[in-house]
Amino acid sequence: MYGWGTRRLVAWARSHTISSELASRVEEVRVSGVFDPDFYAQRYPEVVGVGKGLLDHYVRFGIWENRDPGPLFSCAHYLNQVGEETSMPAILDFVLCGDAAGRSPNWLFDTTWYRQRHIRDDGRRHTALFHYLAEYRKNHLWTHPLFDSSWFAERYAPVIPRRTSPLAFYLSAEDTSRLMPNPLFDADWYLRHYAIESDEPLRHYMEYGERMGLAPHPFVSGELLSILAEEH
Amino acid sequence: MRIFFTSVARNYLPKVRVLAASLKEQHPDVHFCVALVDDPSGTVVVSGDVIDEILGPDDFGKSDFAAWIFGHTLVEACTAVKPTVAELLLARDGVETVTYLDPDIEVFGRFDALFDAHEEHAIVLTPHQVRSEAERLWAVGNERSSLRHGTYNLGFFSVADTDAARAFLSWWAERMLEYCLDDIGGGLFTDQKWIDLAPALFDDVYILRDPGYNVATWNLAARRIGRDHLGRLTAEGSGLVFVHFSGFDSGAHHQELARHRTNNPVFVELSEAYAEKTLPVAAGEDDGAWSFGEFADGTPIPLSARRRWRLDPEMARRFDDPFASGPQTFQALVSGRGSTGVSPPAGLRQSGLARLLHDPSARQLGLAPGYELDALMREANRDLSPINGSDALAWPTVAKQLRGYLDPRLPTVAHLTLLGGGTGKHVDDLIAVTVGDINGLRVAHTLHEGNAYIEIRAPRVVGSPVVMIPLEHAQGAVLAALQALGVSFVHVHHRFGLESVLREIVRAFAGAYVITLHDYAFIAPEPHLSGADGRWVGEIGPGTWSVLQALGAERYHGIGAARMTSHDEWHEVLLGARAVIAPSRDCAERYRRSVPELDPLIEPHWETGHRIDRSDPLRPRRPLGTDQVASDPVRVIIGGSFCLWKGQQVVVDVARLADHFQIEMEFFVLANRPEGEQVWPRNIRFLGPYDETNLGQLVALAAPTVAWFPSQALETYCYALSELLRLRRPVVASDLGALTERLTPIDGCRLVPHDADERSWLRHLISASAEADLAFDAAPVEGVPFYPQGYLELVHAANIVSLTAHCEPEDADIERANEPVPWRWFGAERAVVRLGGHSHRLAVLDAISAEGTESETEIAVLSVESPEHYVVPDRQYWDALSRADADVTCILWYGNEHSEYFMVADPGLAIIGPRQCVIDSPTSIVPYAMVKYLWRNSMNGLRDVIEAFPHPERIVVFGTPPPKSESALRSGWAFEPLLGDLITSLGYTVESAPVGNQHMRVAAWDALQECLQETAEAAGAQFLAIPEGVQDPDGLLLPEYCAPDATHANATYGRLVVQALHALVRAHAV
Repeated sequence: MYGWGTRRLVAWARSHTISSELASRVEEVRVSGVFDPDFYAQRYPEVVGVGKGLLDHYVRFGIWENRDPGPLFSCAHYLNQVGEETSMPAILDFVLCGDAAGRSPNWLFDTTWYRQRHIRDDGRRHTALFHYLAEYRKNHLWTHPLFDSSWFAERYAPVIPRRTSPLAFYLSAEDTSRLMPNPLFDADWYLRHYAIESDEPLRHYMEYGERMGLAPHPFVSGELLSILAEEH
Repeated sequence: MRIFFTSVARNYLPKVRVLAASLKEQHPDVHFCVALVDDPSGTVVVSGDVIDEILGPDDFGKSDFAAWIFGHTLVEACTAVKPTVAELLLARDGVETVTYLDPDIEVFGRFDALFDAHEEHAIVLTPHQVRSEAERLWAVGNERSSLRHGTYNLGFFSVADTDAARAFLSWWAERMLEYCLDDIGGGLFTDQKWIDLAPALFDDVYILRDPGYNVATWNLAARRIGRDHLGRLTAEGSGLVFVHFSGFDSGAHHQELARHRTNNPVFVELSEAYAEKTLPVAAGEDDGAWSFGEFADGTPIPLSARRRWRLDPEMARRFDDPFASGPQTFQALVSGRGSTGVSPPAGLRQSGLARLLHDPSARQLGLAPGYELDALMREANRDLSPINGSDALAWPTVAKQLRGYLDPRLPTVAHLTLLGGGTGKHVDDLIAVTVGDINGLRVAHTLHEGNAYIEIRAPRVVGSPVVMIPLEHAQGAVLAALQALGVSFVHVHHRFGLESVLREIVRAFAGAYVITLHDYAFIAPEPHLSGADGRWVGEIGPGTWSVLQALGAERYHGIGAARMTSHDEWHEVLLGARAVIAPSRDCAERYRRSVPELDPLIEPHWETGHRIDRSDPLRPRRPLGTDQVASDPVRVIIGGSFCLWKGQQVVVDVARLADHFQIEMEFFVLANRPEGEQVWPRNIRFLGPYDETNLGQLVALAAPTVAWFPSQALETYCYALSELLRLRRPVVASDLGALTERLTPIDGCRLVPHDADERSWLRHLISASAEADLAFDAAPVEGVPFYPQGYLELVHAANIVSLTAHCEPEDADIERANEPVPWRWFGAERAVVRLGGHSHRLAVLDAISAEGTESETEIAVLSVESPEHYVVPDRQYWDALSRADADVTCILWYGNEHSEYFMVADPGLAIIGPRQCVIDSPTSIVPYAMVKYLWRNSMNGLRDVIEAFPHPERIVVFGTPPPKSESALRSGWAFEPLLGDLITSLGYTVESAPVGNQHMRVAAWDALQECLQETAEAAGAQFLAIPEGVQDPDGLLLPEYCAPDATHANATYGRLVVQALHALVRAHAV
């Protein structure tokens, strides 16, 4: 069932005294689709041309050096939630226990929310982020209460590259001020209307805007949302 | 006594012992003290130890220590307390010097050079480097590091008992309270970077360049460590005093050491020995955990939480104890944990937007579930977003939606206005003060994605949609939208940018519009737009205000002809208004001069801060009097915006003059510094733009002694004047426009000719500044305020006239309408049940009139003389009902709310109610909660009526008849001339008018029944639902119970009501 590459990896892992459990998690990361070679090459230009390719570099070294495999997994974001020193590489910690503990791999992926909403309990173990990567084309998914992946995919279909997930596209955009993460957050209007300077309007809204009663959309009253938030 | 101290958490105590022991070896007589930034209980034993004293958090003298330390990491906290502790120690009697040493220091020699230095100097510092680096490698590594982290290493500092040292510590401690941050990018590196300023700010700072002090990896390249002939350690030939093993645990020390290994072998030996000395102790004592590093439940505090706590003052206000765990704590907020402790969707818990999009409980409240809302929004977005095309003609649909949010029983008033400024404030205030009496709509220019629109919104109706009409479609469309919205009255505040649109609107609303004068634009043209014959030839564009205002002020000559002859059309608009409201006598007078027939109402604007309260928080804390002038600087606050026609040049000239004479004066401007290259006088301060929310703060910042309005053009009212009068400091103002009449009655204010020279203005400002606070008690507005009562009467009167214009009522009808209605009882004289209510009472009245009542339960209905005639209940009606003697009082409250809103409606409009139903491709969805919200005014009325009864528990509110089928409706319209006329006036025929789909109408009726039940029960009354069996499976009223009109039930239905009441009374009797 495993290919040659995997057998070699497992052998390598054993020779480096990592457990087979860990080796299978490495494999899970490898095949999950979380690795984005373009992102990796751009973020770490020094590794381009080294060894047997970028994915190989990531699996052999990048994981252990806490390098980000792509826009969907931020080691810094993840480690910030761990809140204690861990000797485990961030992404392996995430796959081993962080996902189950509800830690998020990036700021727009709410693991607990996603699991409750989209993953049926079929007795198997699912890593929420990897589930998303496998399913985003087939089902209507929200990765976060404020990111409607399917709606986003439909709206920005002409500009999202074929192999890129909507969330990865949103997270890797240098400037999200023209992108609507859900139908009720009009980023461009939000920035202009309140004269806000930010490349990340959604983040601004989540951190400050909603608390200040700002409206996310010309048709949605910020006042109403404050009432809804308070009522909760 | 000489004191040495260090500052640590418990995990560094092993190192501290090495430090203390090595120090005591050289100086057995010094006092060694540890500032422990940690829980001091337990582990530390002082007696018989090299540590003489331990100071804990309680000794630091910081109020609210927990809140303070929560905002800091361990390193930040340990460094931030250094100056505070040094201050405390220095204050002790008999202390000569206080010296700080980092806990990771080991002492190898005596501090004699330091003590010698203190003979002459108060403050002693050691730099990271005392010699420039010879090699480029070290220059990059070490010198640049010093530039980033600070010139002086704060692993060591020393102060002697002098005033200079105390001043230095006091300054440093104050900075550390707020700015002890590891934020190199932001120019801060904990406590250390600040000390770069010390030699500049304080006298008596001595830089100790002895290479034996503070040897560390950052200066090792320039300090060769060796031994002299007696085996004593040296640094560059000087005696080695102490080594700073910085970064020992993080590995940085060893990394650096590797680079120096070959040329500094002795140092390597010292390092290895230090590692050995600290290890065994560490095994016994270092328990690792910082007591301020965790929340109460043991969860480590993430850095992001600390930063948020520190950066958001709101947090400290909301949470008393940042370390607390559990629901409703700061931890719950930052970790996204709910009260259950299970990690729930964080975003959803905190976000109203997320709730609107997903939350099932929001759905239970009746808000649209995500997907329907998506459909609605996607539709709307398609219209507004350039991504999906630029077809922006969705406004008719949105206008229909917006109308659904307005109360149909109130007149709807459209305010044509500008956004912002005094005009915008006036409109917003007016809409706010008339809520509940008027549906106020704001119609104004706006920009969206760079395109211009006319925006129509109901600012006080929560969640209501906004109609956006592209400017290029405004002609015709704005009027059509106002009509579609049911606007019955227009209030013109401004010419609105598009004069042709305004003309169109006022023609359509002839007799039903008023104008408030906020400027002179209706009478003052621009000279360059006057044609050869002196007549008006164009439209007003932006940037011409000053000219307009100046024209109004009659300061320009030679264009009188243009002023007098142009704008005849505007004169007609002015004269055609139901009323023209001028906010000041001056404004009214100037208009009268141009349009002699005009007779404006003179009514000052309504203001939230209308009355001046003596306890007003805006007042300066300290009243100023004449005796204080000599010592107090003159602080002038400039009222209003900062532009040429508000006297910008005058301010600049006067400020320059004050500066020239070296008069201690400051001028505070409530605006941003204007862009451009102009050099502004240095005594002008720009406080930034103001609005109602921040004005208090800005004014408090300025703490002015005098307010100044050097306006060069007319003010029609001037809100800024009201705001600054609240300061109760004297006002100096131009003798122009409304300023004159508003300030003349107030003693202590000065009116100065608007063209006075700088010296004259300066003299007035200085002398006004020295005067006592203003002493006037009443509001600056005379008489009874016009708003809101007088204004409402104006709107209602115009409304009645416009609605009845076609009927031309006889005088006798009007008189009759004013007579009291002769209410009387029908039915049993000794009634046990007495029934009253709106029009649905007639079905019951018909039933008891036809058949009488059953003997055991006497029923009477309160109505007018002719039972077939319906009159709306008035106050006397409800009084009579509440006073009547009855066991049970039954109220049939209104009950046509759903018909008013949803009888004539887009069939695609849908409400998802409690009933199962199938809706084919709805065009838009009205949230169920919003429908219930619509009935709130009606329900408030019911509540007031019930509360007026002496025994609410004896009241039964009866359900109202359900809606009818479409065919029954259409025949009902034909039967009722009033409804038929209404439908015709909307541009439909009885046959063609769109009927709201039955599911929606039934859902609206369901919502109404729910509201009736909730209101009745909340007020202590009972609710009785309609009789069973009167509805078809869809919920519509069966034909056999329908009266011939569109909304009411017949006597057969009335009989069922009577039977239900009998049953109730019988049950009650049992």
